[in-house]
Amino acid sequence: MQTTQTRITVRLPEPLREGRGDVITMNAASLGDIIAKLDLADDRDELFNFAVNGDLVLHGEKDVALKDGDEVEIVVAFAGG
Amino acid sequence: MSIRARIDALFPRLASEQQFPTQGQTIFVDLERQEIRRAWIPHRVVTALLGGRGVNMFLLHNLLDETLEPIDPEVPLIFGTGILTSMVPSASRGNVTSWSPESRVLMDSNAGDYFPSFMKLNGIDHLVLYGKAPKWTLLHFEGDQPKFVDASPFVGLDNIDLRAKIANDFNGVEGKDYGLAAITTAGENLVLCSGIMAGPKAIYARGGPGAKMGALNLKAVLIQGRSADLSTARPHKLRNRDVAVKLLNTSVVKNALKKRGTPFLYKPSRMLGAMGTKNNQETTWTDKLDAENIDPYRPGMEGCFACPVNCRPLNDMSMLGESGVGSRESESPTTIHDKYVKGDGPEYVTLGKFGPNVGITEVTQVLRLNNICNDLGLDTASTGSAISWAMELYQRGIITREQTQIDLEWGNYETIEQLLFMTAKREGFGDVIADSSQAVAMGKYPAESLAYLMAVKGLTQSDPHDARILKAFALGLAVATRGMDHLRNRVTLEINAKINDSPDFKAELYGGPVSAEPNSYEGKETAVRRCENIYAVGDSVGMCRFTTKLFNSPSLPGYEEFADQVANVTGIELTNEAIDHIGLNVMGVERLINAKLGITRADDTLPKRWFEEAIGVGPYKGEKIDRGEFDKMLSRFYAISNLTEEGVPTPEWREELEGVLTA
Repeated sequence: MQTTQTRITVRLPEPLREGRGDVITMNAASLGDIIAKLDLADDRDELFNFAVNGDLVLHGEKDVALKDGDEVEIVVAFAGG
Repeated sequence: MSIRARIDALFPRLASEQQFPTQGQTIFVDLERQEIRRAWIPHRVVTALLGGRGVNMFLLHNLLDETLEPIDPEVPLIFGTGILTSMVPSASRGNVTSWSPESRVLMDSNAGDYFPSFMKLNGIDHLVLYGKAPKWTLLHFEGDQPKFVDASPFVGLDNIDLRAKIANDFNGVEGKDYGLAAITTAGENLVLCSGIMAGPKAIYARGGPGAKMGALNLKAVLIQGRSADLSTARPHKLRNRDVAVKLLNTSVVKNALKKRGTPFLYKPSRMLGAMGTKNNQETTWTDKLDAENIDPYRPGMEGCFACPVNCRPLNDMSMLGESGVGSRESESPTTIHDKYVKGDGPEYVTLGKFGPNVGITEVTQVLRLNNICNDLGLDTASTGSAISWAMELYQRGIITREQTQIDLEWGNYETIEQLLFMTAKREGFGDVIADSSQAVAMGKYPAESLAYLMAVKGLTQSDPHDARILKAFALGLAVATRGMDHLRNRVTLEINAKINDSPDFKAELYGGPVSAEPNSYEGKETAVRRCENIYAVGDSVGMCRFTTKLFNSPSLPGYEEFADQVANVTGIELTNEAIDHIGLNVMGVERLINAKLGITRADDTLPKRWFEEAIGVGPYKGEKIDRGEFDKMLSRFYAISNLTEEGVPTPEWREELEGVLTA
């Protein structure tokens, strides 16, 4: 039986690369999956936001559904300077 | 009543001796008569307003004659240093306060680098300057002893040459031997968008402090030496170590501020569709200005006095530096190898105001404009806004080439560069830009132009972020006491999805529930109130905004550290609740001052464009500010801020504040 793969391109910011390069791919059905796979879930101080196909997500991020071929970029969340 | 009579009336209410360890004097300098008076701020004022910005407000409230004009030398210019400035890591800031000639409301501007620290290091907490000096003067303090020096050799010099000449003539190194606050030719020419330079880039920028100082015939204040006894009430250095560790372990410091500085903000704003572009007619712009594209031109980072963060990016387009960054290959063929080929900055504000807001797409052009503004002493926020306003008026045919004599098309780099020099000299159309937001009042633009002015209370927006989406940002810009400025109360963490998705944590941060949705109006007044309080306290202790809790991180030093170090340094014990109330007090006094200047609820508003034109791109396409919802949010904000429906302190609180101000 064939399973559906949701292949996502993820652009990592410098602090999250850890020898992985700046672009990785992974299977993920939602941003919540990416957060879990990158182990970002519980670290409150790691201030990163996600942009899906260039659109920044400001709330409800774990529930944002992804489709095959989506590009996710992780950016430092920063709004005051 | 003259300023001298007002000071006479104030003096019996000041203290005649130091009130706590490390307290510096308040020195009143009559520049016209070359006379000095000294006093100390009484304990009851310190426990209500702390120091720095807070005590500056006490002084201005007592000394302001609102029947004069802001530029009148009888309206004092007040420098203040925070109660912890130079004593705690990252507390290197101070404020300058007056009645703004640019906005015509409260002027209060904050800067770091070295000048505020050298005030403190020489036992000067506040410096009240008034009267017009008979000739251009440099006020030279050796320790706390001032001399009135003939400044004619320095007149006509801009920041780069002025700082070099002062270093030479006074035989010292800025930051090591002295701190310097000085104006450029723009200040001499009373340019309303000019600031007071506190370093190569550090500037008391907002509200026209350069013009205000120029009106006193005061070219510079130089404070040399380290003469004060700063013995603290209790040991404080161990706690300083905790503060430094906390600062350096905060993600936003480690991953952004220390590496690239504030230009990091450009990308999230652009991706959100909230990057003010072409005077906010559009809201997104090229990725060519993303912070990583500045990397090849950044030889290193700089910092303020005793700050471990070092968040100020330097720039060098010559590619000949010894740091090894950049390369000949990446050098632009158009690079001009003059004194503007390298410099200090840019901050995000400058990147936005001289990038998307005027239609510029090239990093090197933004860097060069940044370096020119630093030399000319121009506030990049006000100057960039005044230029983009002019460009939109030109685009709409409200002003024409016949009037301007220059081509004000978007992105015309050559014109913008030329215009900066013309502005500093008030030459040609530069004289119009020099009048900043007052160009209509000065008869230089027709009244219809005001519909396109991106300003609140006469002050153009400080930062490039278009706040039609994030309603907490919008409320903050509307209620900020000095005008449209994000540094007074911005709820920056509204952009952080992780915090928005944690309702309990968010409620704890702000002291009440705040909607998770950035574009909702619900609860945003609670977040703005909390931010306004803690930032006012930060300014009063001298802490940098970038390293104050809630500004970009929930993990930075806040009330707990401030209260501990105020107790250790001064012996004054404050609870977290008391210190929060001090933040509220500072805002309350500022609103009393603005009320004297005619400010009402109608002035706590936003530019017309944000109510009427929707965002056209991005995930929040269609978003604008709903007038009814905004008005309800404003009323809720007043209610939790101890303000009446007109936005002034309630009668009971006013009585309490006036007990501090005038008792």
